[in-house]
Amino acid sequence: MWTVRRQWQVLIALGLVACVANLFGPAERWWGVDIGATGAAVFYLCLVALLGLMALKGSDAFPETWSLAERRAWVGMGFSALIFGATAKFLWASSHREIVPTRLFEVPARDLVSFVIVMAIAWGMAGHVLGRGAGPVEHDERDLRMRFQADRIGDWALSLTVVGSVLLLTTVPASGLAWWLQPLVLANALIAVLIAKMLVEHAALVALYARARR
Amino acid sequence: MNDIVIRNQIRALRLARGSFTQEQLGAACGVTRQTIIALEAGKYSPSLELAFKLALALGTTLDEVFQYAEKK
Repeated sequence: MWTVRRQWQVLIALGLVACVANLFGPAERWWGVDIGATGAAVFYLCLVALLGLMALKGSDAFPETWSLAERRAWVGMGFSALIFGATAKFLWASSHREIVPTRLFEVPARDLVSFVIVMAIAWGMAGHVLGRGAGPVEHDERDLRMRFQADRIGDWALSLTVVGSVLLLTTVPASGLAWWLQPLVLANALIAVLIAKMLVEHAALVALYARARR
Repeated sequence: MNDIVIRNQIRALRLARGSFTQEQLGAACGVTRQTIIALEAGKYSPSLELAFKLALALGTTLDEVFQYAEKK
């Protein structure tokens, strides 16, 4: 019989593979199977199973020495990586369209928006379920110190991105950036930058906790 | 100025108080059990406020709980 930790690992691995198949799978069928749709179905099944496992045996899924804030950081890193992946895929697909939308309702973002909404709901549920098993103290000064350091790393990453963008704008000819400088494309790219900052902050938080334990 | 290493006697003092668990000490000081684990392992230096709370919860003085030495 698998331990709870092993069940977690298997579900996460299966969910990741399914998510990659959903986001980056081929348009044509393989042996009659729609890879994207199958990937989406398996991914959502894994997500529901993970949430159920978290609700039933959440305390066994993570090592005992991890605080609630660290567990939530891991969950946050996972969900923000999924949202960033979907946004990056959307931008990549958009860059291959010949007609660029000029009005908001023309942007073909229905799939992305519904994915982000589902992920945000699942993220909120996971955070709530994890918090149920917490002791009398949810966050303390050590967690806040880590959070502050991770936020600073995120701020640095954002500053570097802005500086990089300024350099790009001043060095690359306008014709080379024509597609990116269209208002709705630029708006989407800015949203992607904010999502990337969120991902960097969660990844930094996870790394800071891991370093503190060494 | 040389670097200093802060050592603590939290574990010894906690065990000397009988069945005072990490969870109970954390709750008494307003921190998580994981922070008490990090403190006992010498992997976290607390704020002055937390240091005083720990001393109070352990029923002793600050210098009984924390000592410092120059790093060799």
